[in-house]
Amino acid sequence: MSVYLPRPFVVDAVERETADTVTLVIRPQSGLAPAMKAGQFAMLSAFGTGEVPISVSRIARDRLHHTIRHVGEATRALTALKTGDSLGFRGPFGTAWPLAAAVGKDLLVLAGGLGLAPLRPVLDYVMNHRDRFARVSVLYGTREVSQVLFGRDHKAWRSLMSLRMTVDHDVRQPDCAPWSGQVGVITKLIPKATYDAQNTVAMVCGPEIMMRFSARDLEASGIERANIHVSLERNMKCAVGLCGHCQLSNFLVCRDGAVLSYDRVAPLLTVREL
Amino acid sequence: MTARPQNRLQTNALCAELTPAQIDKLACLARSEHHTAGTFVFREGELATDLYLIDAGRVGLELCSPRGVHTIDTLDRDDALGLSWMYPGARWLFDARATEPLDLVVIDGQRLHALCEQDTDLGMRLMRAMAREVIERLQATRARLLDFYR
Repeated sequence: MSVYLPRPFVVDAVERETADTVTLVIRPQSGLAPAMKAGQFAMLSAFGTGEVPISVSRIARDRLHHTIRHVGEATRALTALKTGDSLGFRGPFGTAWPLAAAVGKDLLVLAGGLGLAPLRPVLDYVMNHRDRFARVSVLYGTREVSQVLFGRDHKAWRSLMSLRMTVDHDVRQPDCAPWSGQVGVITKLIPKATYDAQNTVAMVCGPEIMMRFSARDLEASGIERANIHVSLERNMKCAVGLCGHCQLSNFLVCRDGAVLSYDRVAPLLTVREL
Repeated sequence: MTARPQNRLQTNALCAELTPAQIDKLACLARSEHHTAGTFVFREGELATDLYLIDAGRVGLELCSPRGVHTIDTLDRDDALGLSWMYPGARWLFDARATEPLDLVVIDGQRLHALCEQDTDLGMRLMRAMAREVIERLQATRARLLDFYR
């Protein structure tokens, strides 16, 4: 089958995450779900509207979860899908989070906003294989309390790893329970995490500026650039490294990324023309 | 049991560059305070007379408006709570409310000003530490202004 031809999938369930974000639980209309790895993405298409790259946010045996925020026409159509509706699927594409490299080490997961979605399969893996890692810390920053993702998973995560959260903005209404977490930038959480910088793998996903600030502070804390991994976002179109829309200097992000080690991309992230 | 202010100052990041003798001098001006969750350490508009160092717990800097109560920032262990004490006569710009049980080391600001003028080396080291705190908060504020999660 051509890599350009979407495979028909069906929506098995829709999980509302926030006002503008849903998780689609999808499966192929026929045959087995493709084997995806944590960090990889698929091109999801809303028929008649458009196609967008969306990272896998949970990998089940015969189902794939994709968490989508409504930001444009294609994502509007995808987030409007209901159980039983059809969509197109191409993939999986791209590189994966280096879980094998983190085995036996401290693992630091930094997620900003919707960036928690591509990292959730990492946390699922940790939950199922907790003994393979030393200390595991999750630092999660988001804009406001109403944008916090995957609240139903937090209790389980807290049982096996450290989870610290911060929001950039907090306005408390008289009839709402107060936010008990931290207010401020995600980098404020880094000094509070417990890890051995010489023996730590960090995985960072979120808006690019958030990743730059976070990677800079992680490096300052002693973690080598090669052990810091980021997930980049560019204009993926073909997803197979041919069209060049997602080019970042020598890299084609759809093929060489989206997950790349910080030592390879750090100099590129401050180049204005890129 | 609450630790003596001197012991708490020795481990506070703001005092990391002070000599033991300077920490002793600072400790003479210090007292301990405990606040239960939900209580205010100070309120917007009150005179900013003291330097507060957080020893344990968390405090929120809050501002109320018709939209509700805005938490501008939260501060934790080792953070300095409030910067306005550096200028005599200044008033606090926000409410400071303990969001968890809060242990503070409180240093009398007026006497601290006098000590800094008398022991200029201590004053320089302390102001350098405060400047670092101010810069970090300025950079964090700039990052939040980008509103990059939107």
